[in-house]
Amino acid sequence: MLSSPPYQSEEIDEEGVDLDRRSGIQVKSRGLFETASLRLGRPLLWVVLAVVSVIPTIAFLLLAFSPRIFAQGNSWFTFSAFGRALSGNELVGMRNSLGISTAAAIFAVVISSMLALVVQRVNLRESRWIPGLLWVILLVPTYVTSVGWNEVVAPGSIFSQLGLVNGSIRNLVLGTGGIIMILTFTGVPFAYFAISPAIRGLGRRFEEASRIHGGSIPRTIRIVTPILLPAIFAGATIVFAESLGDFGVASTIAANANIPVATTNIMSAIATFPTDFPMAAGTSWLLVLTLGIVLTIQNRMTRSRSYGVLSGRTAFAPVLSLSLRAKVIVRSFLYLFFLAALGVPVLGALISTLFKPFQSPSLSSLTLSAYTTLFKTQSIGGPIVTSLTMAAITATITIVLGISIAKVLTSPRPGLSGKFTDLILVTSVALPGLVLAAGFIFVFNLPLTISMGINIYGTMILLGIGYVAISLPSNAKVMVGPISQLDGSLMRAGRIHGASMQKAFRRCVLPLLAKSIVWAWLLTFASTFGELPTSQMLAPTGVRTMATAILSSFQVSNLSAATAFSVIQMGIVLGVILLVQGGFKYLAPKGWQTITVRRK
Amino acid sequence: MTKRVEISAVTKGYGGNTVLKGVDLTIEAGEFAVLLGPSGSGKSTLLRLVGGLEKIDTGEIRFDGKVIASAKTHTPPDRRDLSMVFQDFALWPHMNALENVSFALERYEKDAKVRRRLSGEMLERVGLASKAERFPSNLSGGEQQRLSLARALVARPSLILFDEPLSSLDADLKERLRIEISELTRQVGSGALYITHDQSEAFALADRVALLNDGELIQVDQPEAIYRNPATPFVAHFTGVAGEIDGEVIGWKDDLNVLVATKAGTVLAKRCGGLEKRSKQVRLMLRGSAARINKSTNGADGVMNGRVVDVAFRGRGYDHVIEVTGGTRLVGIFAHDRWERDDIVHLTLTADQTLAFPIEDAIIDLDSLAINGVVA
Repeated sequence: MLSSPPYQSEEIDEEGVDLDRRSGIQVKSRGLFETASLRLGRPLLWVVLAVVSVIPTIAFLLLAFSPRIFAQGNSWFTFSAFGRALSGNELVGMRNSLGISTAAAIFAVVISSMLALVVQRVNLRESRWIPGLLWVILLVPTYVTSVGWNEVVAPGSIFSQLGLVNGSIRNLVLGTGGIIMILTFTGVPFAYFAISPAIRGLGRRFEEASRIHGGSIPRTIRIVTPILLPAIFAGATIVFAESLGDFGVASTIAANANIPVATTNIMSAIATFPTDFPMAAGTSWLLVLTLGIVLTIQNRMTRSRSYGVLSGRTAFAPVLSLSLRAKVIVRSFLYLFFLAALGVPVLGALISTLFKPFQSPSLSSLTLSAYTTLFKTQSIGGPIVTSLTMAAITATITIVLGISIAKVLTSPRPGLSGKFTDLILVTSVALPGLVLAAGFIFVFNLPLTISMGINIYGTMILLGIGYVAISLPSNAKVMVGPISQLDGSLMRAGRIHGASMQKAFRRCVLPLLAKSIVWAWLLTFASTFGELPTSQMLAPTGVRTMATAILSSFQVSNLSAATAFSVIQMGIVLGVILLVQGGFKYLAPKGWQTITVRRK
Repeated sequence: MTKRVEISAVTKGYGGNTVLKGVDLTIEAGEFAVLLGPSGSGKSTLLRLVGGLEKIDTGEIRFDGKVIASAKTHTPPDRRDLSMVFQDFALWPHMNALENVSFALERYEKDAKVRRRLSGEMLERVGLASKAERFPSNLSGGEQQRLSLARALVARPSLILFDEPLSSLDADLKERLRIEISELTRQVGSGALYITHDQSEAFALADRVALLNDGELIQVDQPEAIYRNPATPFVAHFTGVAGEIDGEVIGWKDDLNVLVATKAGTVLAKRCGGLEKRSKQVRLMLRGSAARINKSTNGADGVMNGRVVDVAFRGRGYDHVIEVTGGTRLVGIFAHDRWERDDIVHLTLTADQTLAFPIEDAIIDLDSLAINGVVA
């Protein structure tokens, strides 16, 4: 996910150019749209990327050294912000963040490797559900999981009444252990999707070669593991980056337990009086630097150890039939994991909201009061409508930009602009959303920006741009796969048989991308609908989104309202996914649905 | 030490699908045996069973009389004294050439220095001495296959398994490597079980060929015997025919040969597949080398009439496609001189290579065969 996409070789491009020339399609005969899109496409993308990501980030990071440029202090050049970021509470926060993220990365890699082995190597009925369930985990924001666990272990919850939860479990979940646990669960899908293809691509031939040439089982494991290391490191890096930038668990469990972490420290430096933007920038620097170092190491590793084991003929990996005992062990692992990662926070929370607090469970203690109170005490329509609208708009804009960027990235001749775009993308995938949002607040609130006539601070427009900026990198990365697989020859075939560039894209390429586009749209929709840090920082005063409404309920200790709200949030996301997928199934031409380009 | 490998009544299935239906095969110590069959015939499975990569359902596999696999016992692959050349090489990408080869010696030789020396010598024999420090990804396809061969040979195991090792290489390289495999395997003295779907490869390499179809062994014999006396129409077809013509027996010349009338003419053919005296309807399967093209003949027996449909220059001469009277096309009819398209010609057939099978046996599902061209 964090590595650059494979570029096609120059030869292919030469051939393409030749083909174009031979077929008589020349630059001159191109229509206005084509010329414009060819000439202006990339520069336009740059401007978009610059506005939504590069300028805010760089300006914000610059602030740490030079507060005076932005009228935030007296020095033109100083390290004092770093001094503050590396002392007291800030230092503790940084240390906590590093420790928690490292632990989460290790646990996530171990669990996801086991899951990948089960899926790829064992014939178990349950294994085909694993990837789907992991996607579900990916769709549940971390604060929702946190709120769910909080609700389940709360003293008044039905589970406490049943004696399933006691004080020590409660303390464990609502402390560092719980933070690491939730970040691990959230990280598992990321690590799984990095490791699983590697195990699949490995096949069994390396093991078989070892066994047949005299390698014992332990020796064989030692032989094969190094081949998987790049994928394992990639998985660990992604989980580390996600955990380091997490704001959801940080602002719920960590905040309640008074465990400072880097992201909440940045937030409080910006949002509480007296504000200290330079110190927030300093802490952000430390996060970015840490990620930079980890990414560099990972990149080195991947480059020096890229064995290119994926050949065309690796399919033969017969699945193991497990003994009864082994099946029981593997099944218990699977059920336990998904119970803890999804079952407890989602179903547990749902069940918990349906019973009266502090009552032993019976039919009479069933109640919808959590929901009715929620409807009575707050206007929940506002956040729902706001988030639905913003998420739909964001997803639509992001998918258009994402496809354009993916096209630049997969173009046969990426050139400097392609490499530059890739660099920005890789950096911003890793950049914590909170840092980006902080950059937005800062840049669009500067007197300079406002004097330039850009006066969007505190508006929905800025919130929208923020959402797009957050989701664009991963969206573009998701689209790179499908686009790189089909573009070249199909597009050329369309052109050679007389279609304009627009028509060739619309008729010959778009249908093949339709399914991927729908999925990418839904992913962006879901993540924007529940996006916390950006909403928290950029939403105009008085505007509540789903995420901020849930968090504020949580912060005022209205746990059951927060949980009920979370349940509604997940219900809506699920509803939209079903609606859109259903709509696609009934409305899209048949050919669009059967054909899909997917990275195996 | 080479060993005699006995495979008796081995069956293997996956789910409800039986892949091997009771296979009996003996590989003599030091023998080069080739298992030939179309894809899906079960040859890969048999190889994996001998290698211990999978367990057998019923039957037995014995090495020098000692049972190493049965329904109850399963000696793990690392204790079978084997090696293998994989179709996709399966070289460990993080070990250099020398380390890859040396690994196969670890079970026999404790001294790392000796392992290094022996591995180096083996690399030299396959022409990779100068590339011992290279990683597999820095070797060409042919070099990777040579390295894979060196790894298999270095320990001089009792049996080397070859899993279609040449199928991913281009034609020129294929030929060169085939010679190296043949030469080096015999030099180190190990026995070999080699699987392929390419009959020319099989014939060139084998001391004995075992033909496998649909999980059953059809014929086991020396290459020449299989080519000359195929047991079934399937064997004939799989080892290369120019064409098939139906006809009627009109007389017996002797115990070996029958006279067959076809629409294209009356020819003398060899009795095959247990053709009985009372059989009337036969199918003639013509080897490509059976026919000689003539301008004209005096209408003698053993001659077919036809027209040249296509001609292809093959270097040493020409391959012709000839449509004989009745519409059957014979492909790959070789001649040193070129015959032009639409020439009317006569084909003189050699009885020895014109094979007559009883027609009920001769109905084969052609689609199920991976046809490998024709032996000219």
